[in-house]
Amino acid sequence: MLETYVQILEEARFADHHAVLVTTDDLLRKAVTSRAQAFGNQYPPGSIEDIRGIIATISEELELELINSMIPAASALFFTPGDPNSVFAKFAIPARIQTQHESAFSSRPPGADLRKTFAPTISQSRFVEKVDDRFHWSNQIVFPSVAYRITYSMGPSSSSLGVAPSGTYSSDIFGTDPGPSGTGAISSTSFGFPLPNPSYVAISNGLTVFEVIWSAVYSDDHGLAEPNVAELIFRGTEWS
Amino acid sequence: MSDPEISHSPGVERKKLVVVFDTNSIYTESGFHIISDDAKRLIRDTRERASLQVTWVIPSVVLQERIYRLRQKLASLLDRVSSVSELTGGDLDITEAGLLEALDRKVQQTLKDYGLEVPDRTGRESI
Repeated sequence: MLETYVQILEEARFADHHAVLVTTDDLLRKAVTSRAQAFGNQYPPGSIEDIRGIIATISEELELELINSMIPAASALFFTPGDPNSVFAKFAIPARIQTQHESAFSSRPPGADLRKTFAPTISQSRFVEKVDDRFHWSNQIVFPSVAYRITYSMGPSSSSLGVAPSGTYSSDIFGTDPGPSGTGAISSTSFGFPLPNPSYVAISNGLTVFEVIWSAVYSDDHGLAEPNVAELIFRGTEWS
Repeated sequence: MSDPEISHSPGVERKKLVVVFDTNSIYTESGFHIISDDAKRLIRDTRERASLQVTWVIPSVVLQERIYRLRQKLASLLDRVSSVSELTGGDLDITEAGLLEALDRKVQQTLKDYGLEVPDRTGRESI
């Protein structure tokens, strides 16, 4: 792939082009960055989301170094644990996800009886575009999930017949993990006769992805300030 | 998907960018498409930028790998078709050759719809 990319860079018709390779392979990224330094208009390889920022940077005649230098501040402004002024807290992103996209957490892959969703991860900020004096950024919020099939079997009596896997069942996706001693345990004594033992078989892993588009003004003196949320987008759930 | 015409100011030189896709960047989990939805969205969104002319390139080796994966997916689904045919006792008139032709047509259409170039080893556009 490295040789193929370099051959493309060497093509005469691309002599006056900027160039970038889209890849998620870290080794290839390093190799391309090292090998392609000789090509003046070569941008660092990146993911599709990285390329969006590069395209915005080129088309709006911004310096990539300036954008890259702003990313840590943008990431911190979007989400800093415990900071009520971060975009994530100030604009109630968790509540918005719950109220606007509750159904996103109820879908399951075929054959699954139960879905457990876990605490999300938040990506670093990615530059989207500059409109007037506002820099627009994107952050992805990704919820991992596991889908289970429940099977039942009769076995020796037990006070606790089945313990559901830990995680978050309800739409309270940002709540605390109920744990195996919480909602998952079922007692046979309350029924007076033996119940079948449930078994939980994980059949699929899912990633539910949201994207927040937000903006802030930038100055050399004050950095990024006056944040505002433009969009909260549900990108979908992918099961594998 | 139609390719929208975007007007560009005459006399203003547009900046040019060539974007080259590696296999992993366009891989789809479902195995039903030659390029991912994210890649399609990126191409569509970039068409709206009048100040930038982008050439999208899928190297031949990457395209061949993607086609190989799609054919693998097709083969796995063919087993089910055979089962349905046996179950119903009827001839569904679905052949592997016919499906491969349909798959190739779909790949070519996607390349055309999204303006994806596939240069050969000599640098010429082969597809």
